[in-house]
Amino acid sequence: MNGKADDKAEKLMNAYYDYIGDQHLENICRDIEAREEEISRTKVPESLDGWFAQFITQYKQKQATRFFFNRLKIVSTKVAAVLFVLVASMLIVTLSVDAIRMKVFNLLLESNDTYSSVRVEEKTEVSIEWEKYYFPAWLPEGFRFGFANELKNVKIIEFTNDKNQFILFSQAMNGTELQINTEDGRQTTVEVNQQPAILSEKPGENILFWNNDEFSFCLSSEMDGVILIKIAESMKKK
Amino acid sequence: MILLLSTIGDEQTRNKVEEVYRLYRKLLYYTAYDVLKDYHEAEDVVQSAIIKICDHIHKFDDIKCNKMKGFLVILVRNLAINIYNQRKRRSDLNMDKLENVTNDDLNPEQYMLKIDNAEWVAQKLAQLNPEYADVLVLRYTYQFTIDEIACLMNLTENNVRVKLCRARKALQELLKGDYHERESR
Repeated sequence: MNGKADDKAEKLMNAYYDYIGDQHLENICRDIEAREEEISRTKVPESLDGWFAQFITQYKQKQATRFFFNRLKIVSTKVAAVLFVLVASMLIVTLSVDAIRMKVFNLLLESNDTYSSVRVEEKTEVSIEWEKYYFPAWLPEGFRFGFANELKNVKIIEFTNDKNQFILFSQAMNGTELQINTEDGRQTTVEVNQQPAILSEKPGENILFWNNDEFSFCLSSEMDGVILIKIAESMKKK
Repeated sequence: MILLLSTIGDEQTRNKVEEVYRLYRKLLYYTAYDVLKDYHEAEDVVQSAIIKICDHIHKFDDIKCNKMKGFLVILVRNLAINIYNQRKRRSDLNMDKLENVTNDDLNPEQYMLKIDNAEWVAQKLAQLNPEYADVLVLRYTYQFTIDEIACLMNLTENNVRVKLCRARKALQELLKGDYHERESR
């Protein structure tokens, strides 16, 4: 309560001092007016005028320099912001290219009762350095790239899943000999993208063989023939 | 465009300093000479005042107003008094007169009752010691900080505080005297 009263008293006093100050200023101005004639007769020395001319020139130069640096500071901040956006967008564009996306970091979040742990796991997707090859755009659920190998002009890619099942995909330029074990298998003619293909089916291993203008392909797996045809039809040239 | 506008704004501030000098150089020189009675010292004081004005000119919208004129007179007069005191190495007798001021404060209401007498109070205060009235104006009318006043008047911050305190006490003494005068009538 006392604090409030003191504050109010202080404000009142400040207002009073301000008022006295105003009166003092008025008195000064009245005094100047009374001496107006005397003041106007005053001769300011030339040396003072000279000093002022020099001073104001230097002052202007200083102000101009200060102004320039202030502007530079503001402009450089804006330029930095624009550059940041530019670099960030270039980075995003670069990272969106397939070749750079070869290594993807998966963020795995594991929840526990008392805490949550986060770890970053490096997942190798496809690391094939061949110049020209075909790669399936579709695979049965759970299958992922296992390894890739090239033997005597035959490029072999293996896909596996968690149940240790595999799909072996071989490809070679037309004219290259591909050896296929079709012993005891039932061979039928099927179509892959409206092109004739050979499907060999036997317990535990189905083989699909087909070709296009450039390459001959072979898919081998215990998976059903229909699935192999679907994989074959999804082949994309890399 | 922003650059151009800023240049114009800055140019106005610079022109203000030139305008102040053009309008008030005689007043500044006259005020300094009035205290010092020495042309060279008066010139030095005006130069210091101009340098100091540059830092505070942006606080004044209209340089032709009484507030600007009053400020310039207060600034030059105090700088001149400082030099005068240094020259003569004299102590301020007026200040000594107030050393034994009692702490029997008037309350704000009593001050407010005397508001119609403010012109007389200001006059008496300035007569007693112009520095007291000046420091009071700079602090409460112009709203300068203690630090700014110290810089303007070439004083230490402590010195400014002491002057302010003495100004307030001197004001109290004046008001008490006036109050007693009126009561005895």
